[in-house]
This record gives sequence, structure tokens and C-alpha cells, in this order.
Amino acid sequence: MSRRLLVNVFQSDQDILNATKAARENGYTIVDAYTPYAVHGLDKAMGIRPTRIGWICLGLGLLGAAAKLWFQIWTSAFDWPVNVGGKPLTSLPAFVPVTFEVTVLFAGVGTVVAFFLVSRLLPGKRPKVVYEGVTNDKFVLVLAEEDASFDVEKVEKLFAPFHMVKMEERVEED
Amino acid sequence: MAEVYSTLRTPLVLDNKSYSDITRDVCETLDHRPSTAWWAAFIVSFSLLVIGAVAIAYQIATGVGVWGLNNTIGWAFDITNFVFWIGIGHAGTLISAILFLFRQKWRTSVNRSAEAMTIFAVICAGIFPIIHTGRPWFAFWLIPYPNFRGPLWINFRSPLVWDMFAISCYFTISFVFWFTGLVPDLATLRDRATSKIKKKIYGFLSFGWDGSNRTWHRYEKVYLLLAGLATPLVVSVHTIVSWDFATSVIPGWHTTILPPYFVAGAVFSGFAMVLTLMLIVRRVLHFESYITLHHIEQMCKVIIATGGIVGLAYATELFVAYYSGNEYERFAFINRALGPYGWTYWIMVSCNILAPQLFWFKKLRRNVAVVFVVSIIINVGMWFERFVIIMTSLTRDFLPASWSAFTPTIIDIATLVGSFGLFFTLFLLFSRLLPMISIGEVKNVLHYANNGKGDKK
Amino acid sequence: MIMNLHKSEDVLAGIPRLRRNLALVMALGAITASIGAFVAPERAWPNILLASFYLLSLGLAGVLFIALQYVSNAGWSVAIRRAPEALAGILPIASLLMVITLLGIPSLYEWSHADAVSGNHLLQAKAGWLNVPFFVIRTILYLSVWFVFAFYLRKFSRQQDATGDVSLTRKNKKLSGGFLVVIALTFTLASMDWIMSLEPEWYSTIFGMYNLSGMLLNGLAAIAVVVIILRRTGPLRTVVTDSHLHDLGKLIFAFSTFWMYIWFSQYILIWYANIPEEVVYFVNREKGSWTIFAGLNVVFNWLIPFVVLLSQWSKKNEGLLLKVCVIIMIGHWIDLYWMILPPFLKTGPEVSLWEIGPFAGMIALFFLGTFKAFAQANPVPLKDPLLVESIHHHS
Repeated sequence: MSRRLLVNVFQSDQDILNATKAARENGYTIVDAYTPYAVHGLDKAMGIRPTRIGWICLGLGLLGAAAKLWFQIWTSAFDWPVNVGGKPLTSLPAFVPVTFEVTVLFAGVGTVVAFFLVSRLLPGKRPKVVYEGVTNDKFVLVLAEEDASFDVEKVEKLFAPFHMVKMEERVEED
Repeated sequence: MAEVYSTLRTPLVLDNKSYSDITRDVCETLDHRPSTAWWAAFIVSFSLLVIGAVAIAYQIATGVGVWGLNNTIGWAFDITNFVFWIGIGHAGTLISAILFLFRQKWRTSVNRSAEAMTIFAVICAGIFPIIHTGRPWFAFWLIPYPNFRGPLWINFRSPLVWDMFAISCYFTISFVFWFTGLVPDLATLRDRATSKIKKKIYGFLSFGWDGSNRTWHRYEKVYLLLAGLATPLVVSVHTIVSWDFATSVIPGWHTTILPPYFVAGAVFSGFAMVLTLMLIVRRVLHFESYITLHHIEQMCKVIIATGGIVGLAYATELFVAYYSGNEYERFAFINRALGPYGWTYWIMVSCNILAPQLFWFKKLRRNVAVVFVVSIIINVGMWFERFVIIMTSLTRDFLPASWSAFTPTIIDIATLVGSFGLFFTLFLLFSRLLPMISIGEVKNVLHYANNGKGDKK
Repeated sequence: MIMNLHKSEDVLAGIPRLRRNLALVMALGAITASIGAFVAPERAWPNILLASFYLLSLGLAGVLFIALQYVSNAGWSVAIRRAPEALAGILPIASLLMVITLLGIPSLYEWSHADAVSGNHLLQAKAGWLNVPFFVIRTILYLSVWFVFAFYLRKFSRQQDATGDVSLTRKNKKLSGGFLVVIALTFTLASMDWIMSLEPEWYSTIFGMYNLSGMLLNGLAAIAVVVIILRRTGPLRTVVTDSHLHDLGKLIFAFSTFWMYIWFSQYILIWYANIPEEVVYFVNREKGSWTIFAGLNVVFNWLIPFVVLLSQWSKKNEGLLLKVCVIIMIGHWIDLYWMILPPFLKTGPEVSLWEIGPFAGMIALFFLGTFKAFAQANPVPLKDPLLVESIHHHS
């Protein structure tokens, strides 16, 4: 399968934001938007659902906390109990610091790894740069041409107020 | 959806920069060969590093006895340096995480370098406890792994073990945070690189970043989560460092205010170091439009605030030493100010409490030369602070018969000097290999408070 | 956008029954406290001290919040600033209560009895600081300094409503910087004087910071409660958005965790070092049913706020935020009760008329006073140069 794409290039965050809103209101399918930085509000304009990565963070954090707390109790009080300075074998206050550190370690590293995996970003991966300058000063909105009735001129008219610099049609091979 | 800003706000980026100007200004230095000044600085730093390396090699080969330590004074330069460097690191995390959560947009121009500074400072800090063990090749014994000695586990009730976990976790998270922030900028470098090798290296490291907003959307959430995790983490790290002292029963060490006091002191010294570095970077790399006087002023204000907390802690400790009615507590503080190492105490007070008071004046906060000098004074003062805390309580312990003194040996000094060499060597290399300002984030605040004034599209 | 934001009536005037009931509770509280001071001084005075300190903390937290916002150049909070200003407005009456509490010195403080001091080496060593005249002078000094700052911060803010003069913002910024320095020093000493010296042999350097964190946490909760009530009843309906609540929620979340951090720092160091003269503090507070209060303290001030406010959604949820804030305000009472009462009730906490009376009366006074103070000014600082940012604020 291949699909036809319409690549629209803008010059500012406000323009792509307004264009995206207009495109969505008019029922166009937004494939993606490519910008040099995270444009505030663009995700909402595109209609991206909230990410669930926070749950991964929370889950891993809780896992880290539970595992480390258990490990400290097990090593200190069960596997080889050693009396140090008369402190109780299970010294919960003393186990808090390390438990906390490991919680943060699990949650932090896990979240980042999950992010790269979910976003399919891997070391050495060849980037598909949609348009030159998209990591510099260009803001690119990609629409899908769903069917034959797709009218490029209509889109052009719709985007006219937003200082579009370029518009090109592409065919994407799968 | 555009944000509305009051007319009282000052723009964060000056001189009508466009998006591509920002990319060019930040990346340009990486295109040229290093300047003579860079080479000069690098040779000096690297030489210091070599001196430190030789000193450490000699110390490891001979034993910890080559330091000026004795039976009474088991901690001196080594732990002072350790606490000093860890403290330096804290400003980076504060800028990248805490100021992010507080939506302080001015952080964007300095966070990249400050985070790099954090990583390098933690590397410098990590060396000292390891070489202090005397047999650093057994450092892995600190890690709880199943072994054939029982298995004998590490003592999780010991603050030194907490410290090991705190520092290694802090290093890992700082690095991950920094790298995540770098990925989009590495993609920018990749896309503008002309040489094949550069394109390959930056391409490899940028993980195939393409600027997709589906990724940006997740990225922002990840950044927020990391900031939320790094904030308590940075507090916990210096807290745990303070517990190395405060869980003991030594007067002057065992005091409950130590955790917040150490954290504030760490941020205080870290910001001084950020200012020292950024004022040089700004001048040398012509970043005046990005690191503006406004940025410098903001950092001075953080210094005033954290310096104030440090001052409050000094005062509280003194007052409570009196209030306690406990003769050992009282003696510890009289000895601190008037004992054999009293001069270090007064250096500490004048550098950390008196010098920053200059920053109450707007004129002085905006005077680059004054800020630079004060930032160095604070660096010195904060090194002495740790020395004062460690030294004055140890030289005069409970038993007068064991009172003693500490004189640093040449090896002590060479190791300290070497750590500075390592720090600056790493920072100089960083300045040649990676963008020192977060390109994407600065673009994001380009319109801040410009209110259309001279916006160039 | 800005409409009907001029001087409004006291919101309680619109609900006369509530006002009457609050006044009744206040009067009953005052009567209970007065009777208790004579009938059961050992029980009543600590609770009167608690109530006065609690109310004073709320007023101070209002000033502290304003000062922090000015110093950090915060824009988001300007639209709700009249709420903390109203809290600051109760400082005079709270100060009066604190002065009245001074009458209880003989029942409260062991060091005020000459015979207790003469037989105690430590108390003799501290007599230069812990003696009645100096204690009274210090109390009056703290109260007057705080009042001066609160008075001028409010005054300049209101003056700006009329003149729109930007230099008033700058003036308040300077005042705020000064206030932060002053409050850090004075509140540390004040909390040590009023609360720590109840057990005069015990000391902890973090004590002031601990009280400061609790004061700020409780103050933020109270500000949020007041803001939510004002949003529901009218004066701030068009102004306060979910974004403002979100930011308040974030601050509450942060300071709740900060409070926990300070609490734990104090606890672990004393627990770990295990020095008898220090550790007795926690031993007394974990004896018998005091353990329950120790647990509730952590649950109310940290665990519940932390878990509930972890997600973004809940911080923006008005009803949920209100509930959490009420829990924190109860939690702060538990915290203070756990600090103040153990020397008087060795076996365990007792919740009787002497506890409920002064506290309930004080809470009624708080709401009556705050809403009255709120009605004295425009509900929003109309001409503050940062107001635009706050009105258009979205987080």
C-alpha cells in the first residue's frame, strides 16, 4: 500500500498551530507535524491523546521501592543478620534513603527507556527528515490525501492566511 | 493560545534573533577549529589533570598515609573536596529540574551547560571516596552482589552506603536527563553537518530524531516526569551527604538542620560556579544575546536566597549551641570561630555571608566584573565551609589527649588541583563537541516577553 | 473580562445564618478557653497556645505567600492575591490572642518557675534567654515586626488599585525581600520560644525550619480553601480558573513533600544518633496512644495530599482540592498538638472540651476575620501590572 501525502511548510509556531487547527476543523487527516521544538498546544490541536507514559513511571517507581525495601530487610535481618551499633535488624528509618534512591533510579531510567522504545528512537537509526530545516526553522504539517476527492487547491486556500512557504505532494511507500 | 506577558517582563533573547540565527549562533563554534585561547586553557587544565593523576597514582601505590591525615583527623581534604564537588553539581539539577517546574523560562539559556557541569562535578566528586578507601580496586565491594564471602551483604544501615547509592543514582539520572535534552539538538547538528564523520556521529547519537510532534508530545511529558524525579533526588543527595556527618554524635556534625543547610549551600556554591563558567563562556563565545544581564541577575538572586538560608543555618547553629546549655556543643562552636582553625571560619563567613550581600543592589547584579569576582569568592568560601565543618570538629574531640592538627601535604594539594584540572578539561571538551545552549528550548522562549516587539519571522 | 470586580460585600453577609453560627462557635470557644484557664490551666493553656499559634501562622503564611510571589516575579498568582492579603489581615487579632496567651506562661513553661530553675543546671545555663521579661519583650517584638510588614504590603497593594502606579510593585518587592529575611530569623526564634521551650532541656536546630514548612503548607491549604469558597460564592467566579487551582495544587503538593522531608530529617538524625537527652523527645511522642497521633500526622500532612494530588487531574478538581486542603488543616492541628501537648499529657492525647473549644472558636474567627478583611478591598488587584498574565494564565 502506498498513500499520498501533502507536505505543508510554515515559518512560525503560531502559523502551524492555526493551520493545524483549521485542518482539523475541516476534517483533514493529520499524519504528523514536524517542528524544531515542542510547540505549546500543537499536540492538542493535532488531537493527540494524552500519553500514558506517566503510568510506566509510577509503576516502575513502585516496583523499585518495593524491591529495594524488601532486599534491604532480607539482607539485613534474614540472610545474614549482623548487629551493628545496636540498631534493630530491620531499621526502617535507615532503609528509607536507599529505597528512595532506587525508586528514582527505576522510575527515571525506565521512563526514558520506555520513551525511546515507544517513539522508535534507537541509537544509529536513520532519520526520515521530512523537509530540510525541520530541525532548524521550518514547521511542517503533513496531511494524508485520503481519497480522490482530496482537493489540494482547497487546502492551499485554507492555509493561505498562515504564510505557507511551500506545499508539495508525495507518495509514501510502505 | 498565545501566552500573554506583562509589560514589566524583559525578553530572554536579545537582538531580534530568528530561529535559524539561534541554530547558527550556537552551533557555529563547533564548525571552526579551536581558538588559541581554547588551546591555552585546555593545556593548562590538562596539565593540572596530569598533576592530579600522578598524585593519585602515587597515593594508591604508597597508601593513604601520604595525605596529612592522622589518627584524630581521619577526614580532611578528601571529604572536603568530595562534598565541595557534589555541591557544585547541584546547581545544574536545580536549573534543569526545579526551575523547570517553577516555569522560570530564563533557565533555557543556561541549563545545558549547567547540566554538563553537574555531570563533570559528580565525576570529580566520585573520585575522592573511592581513592579514600585506600584500595580502590575493591570499590565494587560497595555494591550488594551475591558473593562467596557468605554472601556477606553491605550494611544498609550505614550512611556511607546510602551515600554510594545516592551518588551513583544521581550521576545516572543526571546523565539520562542531560542526554534526553540533547537528542533534539543532536538532530539539529546532524542535519546541518557538512562533514561525513560528524554527520555519522551526530546521526548515531540523535537516535533518528525527526521532530515529529507525536514524539515531542511524549518528550515533553518525559521531561516533566524527569524534572519531577530529579527535584527530590537532588535534595536527597546532599541530604544524604549531610547525614554522613549528622548521624554521628560529634558536636558540630550532629545537628538536625544540617540536611536543608547542606542542600542550600550546595545550590549556593553551584550557582556561583555556573556564574563563573557562564560569564567566561558568554564572553568567549559571544553569547551575550542569549545569556543576558537579565539571566545573570536571576542567578544572583538565587545566590542571595540560598546564601540567606546558609546564613540562617550558621546563625541557628550558633544560637542553639548557646541555647542547648550543653558544654560540648558550646565548645565546638567557640572552637570553630576562635580555635586554631578560626581563620578558616572567618574566611567562610566573609566569603559566604558578607560577599553575596552585594547582590542586593541591582547595579552590582548587572555588573559582570563584580558578579564574576563575587562568584569566585563564593566558590572559595564554600570550599572552606566544608573544610571548617570537617576539620574543627575533628581536631578537638572529646578527649583532649588526642587533640591534633592537620597540615595538608603536597599530595593533598595536588589531588585537589587535579580535580579542578579534570573538571575544566571535561568542560572544555564539552564546549567543542556539543551545543552549549539548548537550541530547541531557547527557540521555545524566543517570543517570551517580546510581545511582537521586533519579532522577525 | 474584568467586570464586577469592584469592592464587594462580605460573602458571609449573603449567608447570615452561617455568619451567626460562626460567631456563636467563636463565642463558645472564647468562653471555654476562659473558663479552662481557671478551672484546668494545665489543659487549657496549651490548647490556647496552640490556637493562637495556629491563627498567627495562617496570617503569617498569607504574608509569606505574598512576599514569595513578589520576590519571584510570579504573574500567575496576582488574580488571587487578595485572598492571602485577607489572611494577612487577621494578623492583628491573632497577635492579640498571642499576647493574651502570655498570661499562661506560669502554666506553660517550666523555666518560668524560679524553684525549677534553681535545681536544674541546664535551665540555669539558659536563664539568660529563657526568662519571663525577655520572653515577653521578644514576643512583642516579633508580633510588631510582622504586623508592620503585613500592614505596608497590603496598603501598597490596595493603593495600586487606585493609582495604578508601577513603583508600588517595586516598593512591595523590596518590602517582600526584607520580610523574607526577617521572617526566617524571627519565626525560627519565635517557634523555638513558644513551642520548643515547653521542654526546655530539649533542642533541635531544624525546629524553626520544621515549623516554617508546616506553617507554609497549612497556609497554602487555607489560601486554597478561601479561594475556592470565593470562587463558589461569587467574587472570584470569573477570575479563578482551573489553572490557578492547578498551580495552588502544585505548591501544596510540593510543600507537603517538603514538610515530610524536614520531618524525616529531624526524626532520622535524632533516632540514629540516639543521644538520650535528644531522643527523649520522640520517645515521649511515641508512648502509648501518642503513636496514633504520630502516624496520623504523617498521613494527614503528607501521605493523603501526596497520593491524591499526584495527578494533574486532581489538582484541577475543585472539590477534591478542597477536601485535601481541609485534611491538611486538620493535619496541622495534629502536628501542633503532637508538638505542644505531650509534656502535659504524658500518657496519651485526650480530645476533650479543652481541645475542641479553643480550636473551633479560632477556626470560626479565622473565617469571619478573613472574609471581613477580603471585603475591605477589591476582590482583585485591578491595576497590578502583572494582572494580565494571571487572567490569561493557563498551565
